[in-house]
Amino acid sequence: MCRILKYLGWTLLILVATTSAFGASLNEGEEGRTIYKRSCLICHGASGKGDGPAAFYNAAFSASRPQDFTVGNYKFRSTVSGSLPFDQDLFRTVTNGVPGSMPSFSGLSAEQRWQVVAYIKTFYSGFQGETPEAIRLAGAPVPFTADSVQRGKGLFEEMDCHSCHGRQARGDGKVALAGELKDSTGLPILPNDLTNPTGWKNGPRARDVVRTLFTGLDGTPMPSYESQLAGHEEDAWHLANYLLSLSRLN
Amino acid sequence: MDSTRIFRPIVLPLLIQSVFVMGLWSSLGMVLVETVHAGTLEGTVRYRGEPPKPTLMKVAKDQEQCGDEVSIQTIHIHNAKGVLSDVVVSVKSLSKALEDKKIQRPVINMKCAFAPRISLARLGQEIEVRNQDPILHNTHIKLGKRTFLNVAQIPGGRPIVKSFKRQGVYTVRCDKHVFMEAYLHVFAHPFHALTNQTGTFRIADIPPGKHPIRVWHETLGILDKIVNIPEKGTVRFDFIYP
Repeated sequence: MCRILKYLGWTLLILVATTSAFGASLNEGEEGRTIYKRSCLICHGASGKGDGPAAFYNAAFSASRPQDFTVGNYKFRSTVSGSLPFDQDLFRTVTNGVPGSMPSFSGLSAEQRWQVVAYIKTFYSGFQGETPEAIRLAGAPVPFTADSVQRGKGLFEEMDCHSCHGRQARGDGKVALAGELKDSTGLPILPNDLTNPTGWKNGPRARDVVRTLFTGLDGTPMPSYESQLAGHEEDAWHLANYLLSLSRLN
Repeated sequence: MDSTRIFRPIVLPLLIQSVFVMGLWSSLGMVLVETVHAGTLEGTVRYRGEPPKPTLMKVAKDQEQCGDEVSIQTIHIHNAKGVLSDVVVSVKSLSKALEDKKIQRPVINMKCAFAPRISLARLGQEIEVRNQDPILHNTHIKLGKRTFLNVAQIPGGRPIVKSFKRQGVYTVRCDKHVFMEAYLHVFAHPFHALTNQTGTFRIADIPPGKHPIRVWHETLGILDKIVNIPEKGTVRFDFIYP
């Protein structure tokens, strides 16, 4: 009898613990959904496919459309090409927004931003089983100096960045002008005008530019240069210094 | 030792787990293969009629390496009977664990094209991407809309290796040279083959029974047939496009 009571006690305890944990996460999910409906749905759509009522007006016939959360392609990450982002990456994008495309939601509390990040992840099943793989961002930042900028200019040529971004980095390279660049949905996409000080979608600091060079922008033609820069990471910082000198932000 | 003391904590959970795993595989439409009796499927893939003319594409960049224009013919017919190479033949809905994960499938940027254009791999195997051209390429591999790998490769740059974790048909493109294209088929089993220059294929050790067979060509599309594989011996089946 005593043994039966002991088992019943344990069962009840486990049941209460799991129910309250489930209830808490349910409430969190509900909060995230409410914030999503209020703040994100208009562009990203009810099912997260990037097809909200305003999406058509944003980019009917060309990229970049609002993010389709059901595919698993994320541009702004600190992970290797093809990997899902970390939660912190999603949080950073929600907080900072994407200049020229998406507003900052820093007006939401940090708790609310985490709740909406958790909700966004429910649109893609890959978040359940895949582990994001971080880029190896080795090498100390190189100070912004005339020498570094000059070295970066040489690398811009050497690494053929001008094919897409153009000799003056205005997004008018030969491949871009030929109209051959497409995003993952097949929509035409233009390379970023790197001389525009408000055009740094992944952040305007040198470390943001270096991160973009290492990760690439999944879903777009911008590739990762991680393996090509491995062993001489300081080149990424020289390149970042040159690019930022064009928009005079550094 | 009391056998129930071992049975309850160890054997019982293992039994429940195996039932669960088997149920999961069945619900995914996959059949785990234990080859005791096995048959072989072989045959030929042909194209009926005159092949279409090659597509001509203008080159926007790096003409000194790639030429001013590129001619693309995806339908490779090798004799008067219309035998077709570069066609993927596979058994659907089977699964078998990979024995050797160390095999790497190369995809090489060479002479402004990917070599090989069509290749086959297994889940867990690795792809190795290289650039042998004196110009920059970006190897952009996708499964559906999702990026699997998008990497810049400068001339003489180091090779990039990544393993396959999802099965399916991966597209390989270079965004800088839009005429560069290739396909990678990743399977959860070894029951697949690529037709050679005689248009023939051979898939051995298939478990007996009725199996859906899929035939894939990059521009001619997909043919699906049900084929009855015998317990022993070989069954022959030919496929004809279009």
